[in-house]
Amino acid sequence: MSLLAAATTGPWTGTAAEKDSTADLPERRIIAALQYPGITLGPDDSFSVDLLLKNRGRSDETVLVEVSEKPQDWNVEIKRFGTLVSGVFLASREDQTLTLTGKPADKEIKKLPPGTYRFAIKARTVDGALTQASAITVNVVSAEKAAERVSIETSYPTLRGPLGDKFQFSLDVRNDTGQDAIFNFRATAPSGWETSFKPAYESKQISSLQINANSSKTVEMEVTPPYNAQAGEYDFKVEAQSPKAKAEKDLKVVLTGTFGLKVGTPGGLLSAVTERGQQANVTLLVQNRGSAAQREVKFEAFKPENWKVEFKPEKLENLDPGAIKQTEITITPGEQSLVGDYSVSVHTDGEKANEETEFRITIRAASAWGWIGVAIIAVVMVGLGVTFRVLGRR
Amino acid sequence: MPAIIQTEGLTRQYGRQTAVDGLSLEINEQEIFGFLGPNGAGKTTTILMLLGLTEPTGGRARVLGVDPAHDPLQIKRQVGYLPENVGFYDDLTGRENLRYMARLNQLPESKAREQIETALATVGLNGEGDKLVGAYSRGMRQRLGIAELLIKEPKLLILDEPTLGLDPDGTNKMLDLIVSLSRDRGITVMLSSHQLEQVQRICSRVGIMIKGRLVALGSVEELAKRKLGDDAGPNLEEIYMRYFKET
Amino acid sequence: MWTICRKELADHFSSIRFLILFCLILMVALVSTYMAATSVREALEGMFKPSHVFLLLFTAPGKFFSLVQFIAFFGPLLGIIMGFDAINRERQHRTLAKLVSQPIFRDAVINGKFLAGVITVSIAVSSLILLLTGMGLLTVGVVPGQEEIGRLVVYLIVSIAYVSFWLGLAILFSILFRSLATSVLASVALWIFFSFFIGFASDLVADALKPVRNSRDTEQIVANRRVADAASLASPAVLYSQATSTILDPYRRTRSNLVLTGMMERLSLERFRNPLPLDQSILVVWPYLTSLLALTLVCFGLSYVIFMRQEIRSV
Repeated sequence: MSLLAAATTGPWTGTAAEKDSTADLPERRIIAALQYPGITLGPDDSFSVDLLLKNRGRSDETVLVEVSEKPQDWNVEIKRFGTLVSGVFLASREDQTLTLTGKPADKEIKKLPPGTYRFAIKARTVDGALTQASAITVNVVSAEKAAERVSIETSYPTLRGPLGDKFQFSLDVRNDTGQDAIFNFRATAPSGWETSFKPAYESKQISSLQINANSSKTVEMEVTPPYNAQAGEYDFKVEAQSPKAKAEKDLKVVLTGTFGLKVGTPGGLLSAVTERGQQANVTLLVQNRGSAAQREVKFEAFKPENWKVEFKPEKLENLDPGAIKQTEITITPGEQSLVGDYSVSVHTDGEKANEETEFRITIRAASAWGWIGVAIIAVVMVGLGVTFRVLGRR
Repeated sequence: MPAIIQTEGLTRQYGRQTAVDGLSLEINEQEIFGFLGPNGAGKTTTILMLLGLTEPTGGRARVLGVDPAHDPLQIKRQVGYLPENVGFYDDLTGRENLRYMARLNQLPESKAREQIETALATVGLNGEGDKLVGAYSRGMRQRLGIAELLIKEPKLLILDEPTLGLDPDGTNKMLDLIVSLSRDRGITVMLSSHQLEQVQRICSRVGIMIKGRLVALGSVEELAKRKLGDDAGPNLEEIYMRYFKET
Repeated sequence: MWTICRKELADHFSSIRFLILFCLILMVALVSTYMAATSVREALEGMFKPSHVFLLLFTAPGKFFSLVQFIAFFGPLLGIIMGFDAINRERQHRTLAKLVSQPIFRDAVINGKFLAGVITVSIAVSSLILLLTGMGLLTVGVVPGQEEIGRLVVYLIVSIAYVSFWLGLAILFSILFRSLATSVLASVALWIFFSFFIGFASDLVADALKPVRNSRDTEQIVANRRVADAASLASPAVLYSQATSTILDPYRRTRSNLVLTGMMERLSLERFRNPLPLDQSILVVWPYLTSLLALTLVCFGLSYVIFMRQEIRSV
């Protein structure tokens, strides 16, 4: 036992009380306790338990800890972050957590005999004025009883992905039963889904695998959704079963569905001919090419100034996969437009999918003018003709 | 004998001014009619009305049985009109000028050629037909003018001052030509002039026009009797001066 | 009428002043086309699939001016030279009275003369364009497409109408003015005004009607320019040159010189830079074409009426 530190500050004050405020605290009080009074271990386990130390007095204390009781053949240590410690300095109202670890002293002993083992610690202040003790009972059970000691772990129990993708769960199967065993793998999947297992980084499919005692292996489970799968959540259960032990794990796949839009016109024609100020109508067909429904598809037009582009309806709602809906586009070119080809782009904006459709709007010269011109010429001609008749025959 | 020209109250007004005032006149076939009057008396206007080139504002006219206001083409086809001081296309030869007239009269090409030669011979220009008209003397030009009229074989010739500006020799030739045309071809001639001596020489009848009115009509002898008394000689000049003073 | 027309035709083609002018125009046209051809050939090098090259021959400014501009300026002279003495020369030579006393209708004289003028113009302009086309084939080696030929034909017709307008105007003056000199001066004065000074005149009109008080106020400037543009249309020369330049340039989309386009509109337009089809080009300038044609006809009609009402005797 050694004194680690004794940085005392301030004069000690008299009264003692067990309250939060510094004034209410007793002059000196420490608490030392193990977190769990008892734990159960397999034959091949070690344990580690938190040792909580608290100073609830008004004065700072240096608390020494020691293992006061342990079975034979066990190595018991008190550590803080891997460092063996024999005590800890606790300022007033400060807490510290140490770790009590225990494992069989002889590494050759692979199996502890089942039974109940008792461990105890003692904590005291340097001056020995205050002491605290705490104990833990470790119950070592036989391997046969450790059926639940097979575990399946995975870092990613839920996978998300779009329709059409395959999903791979990486499963760590740990055999803590103390016996080598062959594990059969089985998965329960929603109907239509296919599952297969294979060892990590190998391509052959397996249905069972040997895992040595106290080791783990990584198994990959591949999940293939049916081609007509809908977006949604799908639950899977994977089982690893040896003759004596069994482990289960719930897995989940979230199919997000694909998003896609196809935009076109009934005739496939992406052009229209009109005159300035005269509206042109184009029917726009929107097809949901994805597997997820589109709740709302909106339209926006990129157009010259002074042009009007209107959509009827302005947005399409609830477009199921594969469904086609249409909107009528009314394009009204400005009065001052030039004759020639203009580009008008329609931006179709759905959920996670959009499409740009470019229309060529050809502005033709108004032929009304043509007729007016012809009429003027005709009037002049008729006028000439009348003049010819009236004056000509002399 | 049917009248070739017949007018009844023929009138032409320009604004307030009356150029021709109620002209009633008859010219018979094969006559040489002298149309007399001072400048601006309305002679040319009358002639233009007879040809349908000017529309009368009142009265009627008949030329060769046709109303010139209605069918001027019919008249122009048969009447040769020699304007006062007639002009030609100086950059063409005499023959070419004639050919152009022949075409305007829609004569067939072969007939035209024949007519052109006859006409040139008649007026005595067959030697000069291929000279440019610009080089013609005044007398030749007047005769070429007559030749132009002859191409269409007219029934009536209206000549406006045909001898104006000609030397005595030219004048004589012109007058002889007119007389011979009338005599040999039976063409009626209406001759406007104020050279009274010439008119008296060739005209069978005269009309005197002063300030738009026809003041006298008849043969020189008749007029002389009427104005100067029975014993007076047929002196057109005196008759004319008498009328002129009266108005 | 045909007799008169024939004689007038013969007169035109044997008249020295017509031949001199025609040769002059032909010479300048040949030179300018040659220059245009050279520049077109240079411009064509490295150009991928150029379109309407042939028309460039007529519209590309060589060293000084394009052929189209040249014809717009000097074509009227042809018409003036043929028309300014049409009637008053007959008067001066005292042949008019003789002419109308022939068995023809009086209007045959003016119709025949106008017709002869139009025919002469047609022959002159057509042969000019044909010659230049041939030269273009030789120097540039580009064969005109169907559409280009169509455009050239329209251009030819419009040009004939335009020169005929000046012919009609000159004939009108030859009826109105007894003196040859007055008539030719009047025609030439109008020609100079409409061809060269119309720009100043329309500026003056615009400044009077819509003055630009603030040189930074775009709205005022635009209004001013609009008026100036409209005023300059009073000139048949402007009508003609704008009409023909639109017809010969399939990329010209408007007959107006002044075009206001927004940012987006310009972008939208530049997306497809397609040439206009011929019928569209014609429709764009149709008002100009009809005005030009109507002007020509009105001009002739006016001459006709005045001539028919005039007294023959008042020589």
